[in-house]
Amino acid sequence: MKKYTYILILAGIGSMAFFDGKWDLLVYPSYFPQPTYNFENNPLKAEKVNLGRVLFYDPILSRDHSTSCASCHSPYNAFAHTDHDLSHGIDDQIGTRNAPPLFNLAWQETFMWDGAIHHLDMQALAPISHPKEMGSSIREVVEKLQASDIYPTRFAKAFGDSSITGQHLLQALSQFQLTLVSAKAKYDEVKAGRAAFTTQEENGYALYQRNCSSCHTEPLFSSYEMANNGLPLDTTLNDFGKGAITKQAQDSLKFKIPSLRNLSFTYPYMHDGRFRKLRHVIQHYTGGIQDLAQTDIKYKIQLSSNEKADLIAFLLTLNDKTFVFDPKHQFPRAPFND
Amino acid sequence: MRMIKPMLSLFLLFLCTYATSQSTSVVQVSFVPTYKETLILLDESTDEGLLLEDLSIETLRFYISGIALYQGEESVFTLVNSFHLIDAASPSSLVIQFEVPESLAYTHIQFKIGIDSLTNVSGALGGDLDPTKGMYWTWQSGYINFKLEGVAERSPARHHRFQFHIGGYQAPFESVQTVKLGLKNKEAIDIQVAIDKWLASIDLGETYQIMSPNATAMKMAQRLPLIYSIKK
Repeated sequence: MKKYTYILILAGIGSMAFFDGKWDLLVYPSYFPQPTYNFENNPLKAEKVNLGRVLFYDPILSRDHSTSCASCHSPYNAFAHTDHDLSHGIDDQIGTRNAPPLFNLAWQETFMWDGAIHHLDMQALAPISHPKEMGSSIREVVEKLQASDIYPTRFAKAFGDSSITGQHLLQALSQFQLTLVSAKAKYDEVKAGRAAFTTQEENGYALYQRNCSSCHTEPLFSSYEMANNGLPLDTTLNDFGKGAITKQAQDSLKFKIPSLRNLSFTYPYMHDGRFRKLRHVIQHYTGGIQDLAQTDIKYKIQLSSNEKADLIAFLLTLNDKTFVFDPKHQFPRAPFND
Repeated sequence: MRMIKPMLSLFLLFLCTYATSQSTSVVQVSFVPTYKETLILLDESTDEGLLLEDLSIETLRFYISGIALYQGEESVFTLVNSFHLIDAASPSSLVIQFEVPESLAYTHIQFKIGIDSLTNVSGALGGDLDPTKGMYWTWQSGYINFKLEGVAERSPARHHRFQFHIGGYQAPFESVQTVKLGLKNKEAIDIQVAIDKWLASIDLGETYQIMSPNATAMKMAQRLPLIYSIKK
């Protein structure tokens, strides 16, 4: 009984915090940690979120007006790019990495597979400038937005200044992305006491906790740290991950640990999209790693075929259809009427 | 009712201006970039750089931040929100003006060449720190603290270009540098930036392109404070 009272009080405090109007743009469950994004420098505001959403879906961000953020970060794929191992950008060019899904970004402090970017605001600079992605520059984008019929008014509404700056453009993009919270999977329903795992899912949960949770930590299902998970170097790409950025030997082949949430929507897997199926990923961890000592994986995971099925059953409870089909994250159909 | 707020602000502004105008003096810090005593002033309207005896300079931009005044070892004045992009193609950017209490005694000026690590991870910033200024890396986080670009026959790069983008804020490549200079004149502080001295420490035939934080960038950053001096 005591336990339930405690939970009720916590839930009460939680719902007050989320629905007092200030935080209703960022709704997350009470068992999530505090966001790490510093909202003081960029407080959420509906007009800014909406502006960010319009920008996210607008190919004006690319040199030839062909490619928007959503081209590689589709809402129906949890903002990843299903079926594409490597991302592609303007002039049908192919990049070197798999487009990662976008959700729960307010809890992340490093971005990109190599962890090279240390603030969400600055992340958009990379795809905007990359010659194989949008092939433009922030200065060019700001000039185009300033010359457009609609954006000066929208920036004025959001930021109180119709003269568009790089700062405001990046902050608006952050605002929309910060609202992409995925926390309504079956796992979350179970956490909230509104649903129960099947026996198979329950078994899979225990296997996950024993074997996967030190890197793919609950409740975000990633520690969002950098790790070498034992993938052999693909010599057609020669991607050394964090090592190429820091030039430190100990960082070689380290990549950002992805979340396990929304797995079914975000295949293929790994930084270069080399695994098309979840079972290929499990095959990697249960026998595909050549030299464990060179990696951050502590041991070869031993799973029977039944256990593999159980683990996958649990992992599927991390799929969040409510998030993936949430209309308020999708293409703004009447973008300029709100 | 609507008018009260602006009027109150105006009044307060007036009050502040009045209260401070009586007791402050203006300090003017001017940066004078030179190459062997030739003033480096660039014209952005032409594609050609400034032609010098053995090379030409196309871009010279650097951040100055954290300006403070010292009386000997003691800090007596710190300029708040002090981030300044100095651009040889923009004469107005070469001069920084600020007010100090009139009776303030100081013997030294201190400043950083570049941007501190906290500011580097503070998200999208405005003014001189706006990423549209072309001084923020795109594929990784961090400001470029010091940028010098040009053409030299000795450089083996395409079109004999050389490009130095010196930056990085994370160990072991924290490239921001601190400079402290003794003053000759308190109000008009002219600081010479001797680019030739910096280039003299490298061989453009071997080192001609640095565009990320690394060991060579670090060495070049550490030599930057030596080229800043109070103009004679």
